[in-house]
Amino acid sequence: MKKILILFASVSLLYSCDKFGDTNVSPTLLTVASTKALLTNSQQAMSSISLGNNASSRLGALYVQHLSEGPYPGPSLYNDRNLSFLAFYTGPLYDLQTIINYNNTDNPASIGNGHKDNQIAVARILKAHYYLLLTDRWGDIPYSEALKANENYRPKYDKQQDIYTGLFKELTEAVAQIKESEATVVGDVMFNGNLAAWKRFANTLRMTMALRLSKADPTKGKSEYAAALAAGVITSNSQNIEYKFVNGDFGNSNPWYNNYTVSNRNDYAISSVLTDYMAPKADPRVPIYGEVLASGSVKGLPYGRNAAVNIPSAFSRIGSYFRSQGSAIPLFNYSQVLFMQAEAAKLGYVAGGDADAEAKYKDAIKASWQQYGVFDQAKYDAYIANPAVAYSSVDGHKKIMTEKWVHMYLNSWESWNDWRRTGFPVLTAAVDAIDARGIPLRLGYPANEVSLNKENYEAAVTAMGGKDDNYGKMWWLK
Amino acid sequence: MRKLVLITTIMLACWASAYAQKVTVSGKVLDSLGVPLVGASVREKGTNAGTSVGTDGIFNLTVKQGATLIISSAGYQEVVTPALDGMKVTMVAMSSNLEEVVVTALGVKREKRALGFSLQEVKGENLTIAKSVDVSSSLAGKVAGVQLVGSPSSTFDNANIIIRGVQGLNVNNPLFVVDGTPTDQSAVLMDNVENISVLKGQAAAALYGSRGQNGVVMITTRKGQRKKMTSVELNLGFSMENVAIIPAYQDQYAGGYSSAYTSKNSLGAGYLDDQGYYIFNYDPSVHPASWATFQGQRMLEYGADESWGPKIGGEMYRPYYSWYPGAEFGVLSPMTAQPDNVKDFFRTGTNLNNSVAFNAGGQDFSFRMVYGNQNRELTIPNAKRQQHQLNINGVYDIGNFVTISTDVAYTTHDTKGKPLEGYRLDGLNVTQNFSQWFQRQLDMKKMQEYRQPDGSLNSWNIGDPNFSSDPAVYGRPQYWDNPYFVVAENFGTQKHNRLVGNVGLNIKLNSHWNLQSYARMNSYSNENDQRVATGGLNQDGYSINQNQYKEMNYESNLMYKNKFGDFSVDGMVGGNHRTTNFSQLNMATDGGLSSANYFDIAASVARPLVSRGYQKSEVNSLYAKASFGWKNMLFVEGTVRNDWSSNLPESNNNYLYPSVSTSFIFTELLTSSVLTFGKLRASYASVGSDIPPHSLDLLINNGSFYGTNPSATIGNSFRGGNIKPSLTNAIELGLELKFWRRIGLDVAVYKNNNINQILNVDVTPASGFSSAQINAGDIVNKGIEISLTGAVIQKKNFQWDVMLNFAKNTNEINELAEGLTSVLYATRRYDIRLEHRVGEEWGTFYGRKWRTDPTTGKTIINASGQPEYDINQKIGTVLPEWTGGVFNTFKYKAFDLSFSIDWQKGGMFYSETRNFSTGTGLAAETVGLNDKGHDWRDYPGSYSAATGNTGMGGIRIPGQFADGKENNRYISARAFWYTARQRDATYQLLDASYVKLREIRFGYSIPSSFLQKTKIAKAANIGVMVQNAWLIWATTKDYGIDPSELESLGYEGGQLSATRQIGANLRITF
Repeated sequence: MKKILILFASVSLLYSCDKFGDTNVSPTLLTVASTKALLTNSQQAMSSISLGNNASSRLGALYVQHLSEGPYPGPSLYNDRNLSFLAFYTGPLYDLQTIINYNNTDNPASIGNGHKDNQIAVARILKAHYYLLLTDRWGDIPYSEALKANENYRPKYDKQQDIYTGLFKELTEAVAQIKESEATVVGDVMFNGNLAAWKRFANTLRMTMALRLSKADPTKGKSEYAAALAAGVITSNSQNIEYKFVNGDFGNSNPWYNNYTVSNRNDYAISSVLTDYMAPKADPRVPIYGEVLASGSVKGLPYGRNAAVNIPSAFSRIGSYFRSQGSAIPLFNYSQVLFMQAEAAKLGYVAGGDADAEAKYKDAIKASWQQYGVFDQAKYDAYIANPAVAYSSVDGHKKIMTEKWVHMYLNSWESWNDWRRTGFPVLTAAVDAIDARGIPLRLGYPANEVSLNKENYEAAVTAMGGKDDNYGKMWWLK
Repeated sequence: MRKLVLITTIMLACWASAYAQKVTVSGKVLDSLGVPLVGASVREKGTNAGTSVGTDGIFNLTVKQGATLIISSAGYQEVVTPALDGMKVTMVAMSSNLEEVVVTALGVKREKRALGFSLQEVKGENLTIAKSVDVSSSLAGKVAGVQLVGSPSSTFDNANIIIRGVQGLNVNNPLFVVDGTPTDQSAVLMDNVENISVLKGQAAAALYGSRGQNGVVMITTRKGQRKKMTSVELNLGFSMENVAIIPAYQDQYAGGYSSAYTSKNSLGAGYLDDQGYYIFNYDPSVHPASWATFQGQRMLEYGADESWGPKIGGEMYRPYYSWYPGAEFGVLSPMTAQPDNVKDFFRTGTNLNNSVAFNAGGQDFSFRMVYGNQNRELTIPNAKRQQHQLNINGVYDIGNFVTISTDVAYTTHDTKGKPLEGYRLDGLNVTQNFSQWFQRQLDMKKMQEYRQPDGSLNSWNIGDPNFSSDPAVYGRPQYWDNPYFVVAENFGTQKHNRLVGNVGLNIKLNSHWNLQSYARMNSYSNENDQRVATGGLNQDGYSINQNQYKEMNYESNLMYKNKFGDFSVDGMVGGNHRTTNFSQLNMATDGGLSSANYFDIAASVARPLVSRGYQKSEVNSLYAKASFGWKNMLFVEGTVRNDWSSNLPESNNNYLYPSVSTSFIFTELLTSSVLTFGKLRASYASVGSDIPPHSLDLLINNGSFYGTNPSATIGNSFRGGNIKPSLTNAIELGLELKFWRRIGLDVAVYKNNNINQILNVDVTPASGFSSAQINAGDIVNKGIEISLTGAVIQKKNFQWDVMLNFAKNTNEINELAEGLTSVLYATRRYDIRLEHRVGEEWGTFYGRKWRTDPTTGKTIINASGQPEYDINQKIGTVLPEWTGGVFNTFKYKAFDLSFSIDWQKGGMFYSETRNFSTGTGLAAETVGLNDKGHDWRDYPGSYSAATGNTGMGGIRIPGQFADGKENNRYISARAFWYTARQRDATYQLLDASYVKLREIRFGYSIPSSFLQKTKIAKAANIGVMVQNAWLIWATTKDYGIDPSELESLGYEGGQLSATRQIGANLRITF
């Protein structure tokens, strides 16, 4: 009774009160993100969104026929048209932008995580990496007005040419901004704060972009290529750039491991297009790339049929080299750089001509075998002597790109970029392709962009040829 | 609390001896039509002795010899008469109407005539005719403007309801209030419900503040009576439930993919036969020599979780189990259809639903205690729930001026195997398995033994023996575990406790002033876990979740009531202080279990995943209400409320909102024997609203550590911290008519403008965020509600009461933020999106459509034989055009029959069941002939543009190629049903219209003459009932989906089959 009266009295007194102290502060939420934690997260994003096997990130492997689909063919028949880019922008890109913003405003969250210039430079390089993935897939995309949060909810779509120009500038400036003598970045799970490696990453990225311009703007391509090479790219397999996973850590497992081993999904097998190319040449990489079946062989799954088939034991899933819990995802490696140099020589980006191209080509194959741990001099000699492999000036470009495609297994988006630009390797579209125009040339914009950023979206579609489908030609393809 | 019980107990003892030298009189009180005047008050003049009239019109009262009785009832002229045993009193209506008293906001009882807004009430006996266990489904069709959402019949879940369409951009549920305490409907013991008042409009709910914005469902439980009595009521129910609706499956084709192929050589020569069987091909490099005899045997593509396989015709073939080592290894069996396999999986569920109530009372106290118990087993094996509920209500007068009261409701239940719905990739929804990814020829009896003799698991969905001879390899399930394993071993449990109650104090200051104070609590705790057993497809694991919630409300109201000549005044001022606390701990194993089937967090192979949930908020409120009446004919009422919320920015954390309403009883000015009552009402109200706690600032999410490196990411929703309370402005007009005092008509029209909504609008992710928190928008919902109630026939031996409801509501998006034309509500497969677009209806579906040629109108077919398509095509809207229901009660002598029917017209939903049951060849509609008159499941053969297809099978989509030529390409049946149909959203978006017989009860009251002889019981009624009785009509019936029970608004992802419950019910009063 008394309690109730007290209660009533106290309730009556309460009403003047509009102060709640820290009631609205949750102890379970972070109020500020340390830049080192943001950097780690923006690198971890590689696993799920850019290189892993999430729905949209595995398309590359299906388009260039590194992989085939088993029971539920669809993407390899080109039935995906409009794909979301949400995870790029809202994930690593905004986190990296936040690192830059925090450092520029001396936010306490950036203190102690490396010298300001180093933090900014690293964030810029990684941002450039993600932006390159974006523009190479979709074409014109929001860039100069993007990542401005509430300041701009309707950023314009920049022309791909302008984005390339911007990224060249970013990479050049970022490399110059790095101060190796100052405190290095914290939270860098890719290079563990090795600033020299960041420079190599930036330069290799720049080199890749430079070659991408071989049709659209070879002049700029040439000069950027030379500058990148001079600034220092990967020069040995020990400098390979990859995203590593952690054995025994289920929060940092290779996505293919999650797919095959944790989730028991067997939707993908190595494509017979690839195995049919490799096997007759006694390529020792075959049992690395594909699972060795009970019969002792690696059996590729026919590509692009609308016939649903079950994979386990009938066809080879991808090899354990690529799908163990700790298997790394390749970004850039020495062999790839050598292939690029071979192509640059062949295209006349650099002097040296066919002789230089051939030498780099052979070195590239050798570096590839070494990278996969299957190098054997005798087998190698036989391999490069095989007429189907041996370099000739007549079809040198085709051979470089075809062997590069073999080497780039499961680094497939880059192979798709190469195929779109050079037409090599020569690929036949899926026999049961849902779209008769064949292998897609780009990804359609996210289906809801028309609602969210209508005018800019429509302008971009118009610039792309009027149709937001998979066959518009982006600038560097023209 | 303890003190209260003690006092109550003492007082009980005191009053036992207070009666002496008295007589008991019994009498009957009727109105002029001879209808019992239930609830009329009977008092002994000059004393406090009194009682009220029971349902049969009879009262019993102990009075002094020669006493005078005063009999009164609201709206009737008072009768003063000597107390005579066996007396019969006829009351004369004071005005032209029976005065109805209803429960309004904050539990205040009001004469309905004085209300200027719409309120609809359902009496307890009409709610639970079929012993429904759920408040929401018991309201279906009985209240105009209430739409049911959720799938209660086949699950343990409560349904949800939407009142008068949607306020704002998201669907929010109404506030459920039990005896004045805000809580959840699961706290309600259905057998103990006296009535439910639904406050639909904002004016009605203004006193509940922002929480009443979506309507208020006020549940009043039965109370004891303030008269000397004791009684016991027993309400026993038993029902059995069975699956009522499943998709129409095809039973002519077995599992496999052969109807996906163009010819029998598509897999290489010798792997398929003409009929579509998959053939065993002996390969000495793979198989042992003993398997050579299997060469050429018919198999199936066991790994296929689809039924595009061979035609079933009694052929001898190798079923999946003939590949597991054991007695059946290598044995051929005849291929036979199994039309009832899915039905056979589901069992007959049972539900024991009993309650017992004890009443005791005296002149200055009343007490009621109810214990309810439910024991339910669902149709899904291994799913059961045991529930206990206890309700206690007590009222006690201390002296002449102070009354203390309490209501306590305790609910506890233990659940095992709660079925999981929705489209899941973990294989835990067996209904999804059966209706979306299955093989039709499977025999359930064979599957029941899901473990092999050696203890290993088996599955129908095995690998391919053509390429492996190792049972450990080919015997592993491809995509689905055995469903019996799933329900038996991969289950979750739930332990739930909820305590809801209040302690109240009422001080009668004088005959006009009253002070009420309440302390109210709503608290619950849950412990849920889920296990994934070792050896199945999924990595084994265990997760557990514990949470606790407590909400306290401290409320004080000072009330005033008076009459000055023709004027009456009714007013109050009050305040409320609310605190809410929620905390949660989630833990899950990572990387598997350290020992087989060791279900504990300690079994986690990797560091377990742990997360916490937390919410805390406080709201202070002050409010006032004043109501003025003139000649009991014209009423005006105003309310005003101010809230201070801790969830809002400190600079902008309070908001004030008023309402005003009026009613005019124009029949006071007429005398008509036909139109006996007529009222016009109008109201305007504004309701403010805040946001959930801790949602002002940018969210930063933790990622998973990389080694020792912490990981964090900026959340995807931009929040600037600068948010204002949102506002709903509502106007409502109403008309209430009563004819011959028996037939009532209530019409309400309303319009709500939801402005300044706190929106989480989608923005282009290129901004760095996928959504942004803003104040904006103007969302309008308007509609009309009509309800017709009538005692159609009122003869001595036959009565027929009917209640008819109709509601039409439209929600439109008038405006969003500046420059924003659309807000995404949900995305589904194949570019299907549910959007709110400016200028259009709330929730419009956009998706793909086959492209047609603008001149010929024909579908454009590409060279592959597939239709071209366009995205962003408008398909339809999600909310119904109109809803309604009818409730009938018939009484003939001792028999009674009640049933309710409800319906919905319009509204669409996305159905995953329909999508995949057709895509995977399970549905009956996937069997048929093509336009050549040939079975379309046969091979279409290869195609050339000039000569067409070489085979006779396949399907040709009517249409033209890009060059205008008629399409002549036949594609495989699967390419049509799976692929082509994904290119047109009209195949996945279905019409949610339905008509349903929700519940029916047929009862018999045992004659009182018989009961009096036996002297055991005072009243008894026995009945048979059917709950969720019959989906009379719905276009989706053949697809196995009951649109009246969708798992969520506009979506069905693999829904449990609805069930029908048939049972018996016995009610006895002692």
